[in-house]
Amino acid sequence: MGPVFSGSVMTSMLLTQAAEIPQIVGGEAPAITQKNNPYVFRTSFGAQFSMPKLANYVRDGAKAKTVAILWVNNDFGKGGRDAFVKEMGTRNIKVVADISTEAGQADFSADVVKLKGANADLIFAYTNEEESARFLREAKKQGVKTPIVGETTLLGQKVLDLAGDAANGVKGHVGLTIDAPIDAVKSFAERFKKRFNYACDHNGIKGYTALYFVKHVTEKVGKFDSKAFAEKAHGITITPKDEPNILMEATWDKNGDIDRESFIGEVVGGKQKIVGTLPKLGTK
Amino acid sequence: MASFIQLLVSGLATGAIYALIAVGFTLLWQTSQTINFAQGEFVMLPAFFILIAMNYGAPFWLSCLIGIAVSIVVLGIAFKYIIVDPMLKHGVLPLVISSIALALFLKEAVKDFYSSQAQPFPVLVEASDVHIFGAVISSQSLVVLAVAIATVIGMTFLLNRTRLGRMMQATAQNPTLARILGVPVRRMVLYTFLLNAVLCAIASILISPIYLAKFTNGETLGMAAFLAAIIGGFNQVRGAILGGVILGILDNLSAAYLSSQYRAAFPLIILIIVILVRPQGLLGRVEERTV
Amino acid sequence: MNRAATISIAFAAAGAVIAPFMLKPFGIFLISMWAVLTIAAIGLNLTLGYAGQVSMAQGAFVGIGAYTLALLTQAGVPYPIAFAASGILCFIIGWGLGYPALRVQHHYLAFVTLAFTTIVFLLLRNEEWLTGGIYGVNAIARPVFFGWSTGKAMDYYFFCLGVLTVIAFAVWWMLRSPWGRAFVALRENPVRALSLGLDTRRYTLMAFAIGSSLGGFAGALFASLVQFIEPASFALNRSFDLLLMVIVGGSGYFMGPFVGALVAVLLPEWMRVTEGYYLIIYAALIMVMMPLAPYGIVGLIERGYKALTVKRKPPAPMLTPERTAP
Repeated sequence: MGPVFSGSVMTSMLLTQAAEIPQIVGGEAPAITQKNNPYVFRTSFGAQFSMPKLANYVRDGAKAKTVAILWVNNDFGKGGRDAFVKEMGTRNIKVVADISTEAGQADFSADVVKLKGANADLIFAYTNEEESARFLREAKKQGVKTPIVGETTLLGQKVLDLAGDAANGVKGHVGLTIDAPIDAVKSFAERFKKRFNYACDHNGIKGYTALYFVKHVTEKVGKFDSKAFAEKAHGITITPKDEPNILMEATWDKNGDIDRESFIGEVVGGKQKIVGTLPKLGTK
Repeated sequence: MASFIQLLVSGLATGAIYALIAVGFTLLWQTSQTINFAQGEFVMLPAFFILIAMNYGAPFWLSCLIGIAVSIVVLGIAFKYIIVDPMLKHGVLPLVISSIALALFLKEAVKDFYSSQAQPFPVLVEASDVHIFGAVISSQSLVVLAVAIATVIGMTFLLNRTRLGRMMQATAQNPTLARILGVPVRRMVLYTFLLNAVLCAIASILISPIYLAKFTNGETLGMAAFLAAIIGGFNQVRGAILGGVILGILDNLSAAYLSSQYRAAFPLIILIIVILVRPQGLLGRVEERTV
Repeated sequence: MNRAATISIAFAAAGAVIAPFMLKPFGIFLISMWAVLTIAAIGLNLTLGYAGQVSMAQGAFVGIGAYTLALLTQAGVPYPIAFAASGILCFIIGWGLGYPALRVQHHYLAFVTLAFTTIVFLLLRNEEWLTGGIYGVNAIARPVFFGWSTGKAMDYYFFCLGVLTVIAFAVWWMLRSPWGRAFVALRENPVRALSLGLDTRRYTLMAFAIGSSLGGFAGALFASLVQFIEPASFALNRSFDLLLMVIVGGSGYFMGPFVGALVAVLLPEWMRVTEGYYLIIYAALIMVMMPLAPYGIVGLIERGYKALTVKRKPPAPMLTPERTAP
C-alpha cells in the first residue's frame, strides 16, 4: 500500500511498477492512472471521475452559467483544473476567470480581488488544504458573496479547523465521508472512534477500503500472487453484499480507477453536512 | 479603484512585515558580514515557541512575550555563539553554507517534533472590516501596518537617538574606527543579533495569523527578506524598509493585473534589473569591492 | 601525484566498474544517479571551489539540460546532437547570466542565480506548450550506439560512468593546462592573481560558464536515467543539494565532488533506520563540519595524511579512499 499524496505517489509508482507489486494509493491526480501502469489502484476518485460528477452538480444543482476557477499550480491542482474546464466546456458553462495560485501561497488578497471582479455565478476552488483555508479566510475578509464549491479537499476537517467560520456555506463534492448517509459507513466511523479514540477522516476509509479490496481480490485469486492480483482486480465490482467491510459498492476499471456513489456536502456551523448524493458514473 | 486601494493596503501590510525581516537581515550583514540564509526560518520559528507556550496554558499575550524571550535566547545569543562566531574566521562563504544547513535543520526540526501541518494562530484583533473609499480593508491589515510602523519608528529612535544606537551604527559602518573610538564593538555586534531576533519574533506574530504557522513558511519569507534587502540597499536600514514595502505592493499588484502564474517572477526580475543598474540598491551606499 | 593517491583512485575506479554486478536494480539506479550528480557537482566545483562564487543555479542548469535532451530527442533529433546541445545551451546561458552579474560585487552572483533558478522553474511549469507544464515529460529515450542499447539499467550505468570519466579527464587536463592554472591561481589568491595581470573576472566567468555546461550534460544524463522529468525536480532545493554536495566533499579539491555526491546519494539510504530524521541529521552534520573542517571530507583526509607524513612533500589534493558499493 502506498502514499496518499499525489506527489509521493508518482515517485513510488515507478519503483513498484518495476517490482511488479500492485500498489493501492489514495492520491487524486489524474496522471497516476494514465501512465499505463497495470499495478496501480486507487481508493479515492481520480479527478477525471469526480469532475464529471461535480460538473453535473454545477449545472443541475447550482444552476450556474458562469464559473470562476481558483486552482493550485501543481500536479494535483492542474489536473483537477484541466478536467473541470473540459467538463464545463461540454456543458456550455462559461469559465470567466481562471486563476492559478502557488502551492504554499500565503497571501490570497490579489486572487480574491480578481475573483470578485469576474462576477461569476459560482467559484470553484481546487487547492490543497492549507491554501484552501487561507483562501476562504481572505474571501470572507473581502466579503465574497458568490457561492464557493470545491472538491473533497475544500471540506476537509483540516480546512474547517484552519478557516474557522470563514468556511460556513461552502459546498463541496465529497467522494467519501464518515458522515455518509449509509449505515455501514456510520458504524465503521463509530468503531474507528472507539478503537483509536479519535475521529476518522476520509483517509481512514481509504486505508480501510484498500485493506478489504486486497482481501477480497486475494480471496478470489486464492493465493498471494501479485501478478494474478493485478489481472483480477481490473474491472472488478465489489458490493457490500459480497464483502460487508467494503462499506459501499465500488468498481475498479481497467486503469485502476475507482467508481462509486458520492455526496455533496455543505459547511454549516463549522461542520460538514451531507446535503445530496451523486450517483455512480457507471462504466464509460 | 476600490480593488486597487484594497490591493495597495494589503500589499503595504505584507510589505511592512517584509521590511521588518529585511532590516534584521541587513543589520546582521553590516555588523558581522553574516548573510543569513535562515532568516525566513527565524520568522517561522517564534510562532511555534508561542504555540508551545499556549499549549502549556499561558494566555496569548504572555505566550508572545515568552516567544520573544525564547527567540532572543535561541535566534540571537545561541545563533551568534554557536553558529556564527566559529565560522567568522573562515569568511563569508562557509557561513552562507552553514546558514543554509541551519535553515534546513530548523524546518525539519519543526516538522518532525511539532507538526508537518499548518497550525491556526491567534489573531491580534478580531477580524472586522473598515470601509475606506468603497474599499473593504480588514482591521487585521491595519493592525499589522500599525505594529510594523511602530516597530520601525521605535527602532529608528533606538538607532539614531540613543547613545547605544549610535554605537551600534558606528560598529555597523566601520568597526575598526569604532573600536578606536572606544565603542565596545563585540557587545554591539551581539546587540544587533538580539535586535534581529526581536524583529523576527514580531514579524512572526504579525504574519502567522495570515500565513498559518507552518514549517515551510520561512521559504517565501526568507526570499522576500533577501529581495527587499538587495532592492533597497544591502547596507542601509532605510533601504531595507523601502525594499520590503515595494516588494509587498509589487507582489499584489502584479498578481492581480499582470499574471498570477508568474507572480513569483516579477520581484526577481526587479531584483535583476536593480543589480544591473544600481548594484548598491536603491538607497544603498557604494561599498568598496571586497575580494 | 603521489603513490597513495594513485592507488586509492585506482581502487575506487575498479570499485565503480565492479559495483553494478553486485547490486540490485535499485542499487544500480543509485550509483547511476551518483555518476550523474558527480558531473553536475564537478561543474559547480569549478564555480565554487576554484572561482569562489556561490552559484544557486546548478539545479536549474541540470533542468535546462534535462529538458533540452528530452524535448530534442522527442522531436526526432539524434541523441548525440541533443546531448551536445544540452551542454552548449547551458554554456551560453551561463555566460549570459554570469556576464552582467559578475560586473558588480562578488557575492551578487549568488543572488542573481537564486532569482534565475526560480524563474527557470516558473518557465518550465507555466509554458505548457513547450515543456509539458507541471506534468513534465514522459518516456525519455535512452541512447543506442552502433547497436549497443543502453536501455537496461546496467548498460545505462556504464554509459553514465563513461561520460563521467571523459568529463573528469577533460576537467583534470584543463586544470593542469597553463590556461587552467589560472583557475587554481584564482582559488589560491585572487588578489595576487589580479595583480599578476590575470583578468580575474574573465576567468571567473569562464569557470561559471563551463561549470554550467557540465550541469547541462548532467541534466541530459539525468533525463534518460529517470525517464520522467518534471519542473519540481529542478527547483531551488536541487541547487542547494548540489551546493552542499560540493561543500561536503571538499570544494576546490578535484575529488571533492565524487565524494560529496556519493555521500548525498548513499546517506539517505543508510539512514533509512532514522526514519524521517535523516534531513535533520544531515543538516546538523554539515553545521558541525563547517567550523571544524570547512574544506570538506577530501580536505580533511588530505590534512590528516599530511599530519602523518610531515617530512614528505605535501601531496596534491587528490587523495580519497572511495567506497562505491553500499
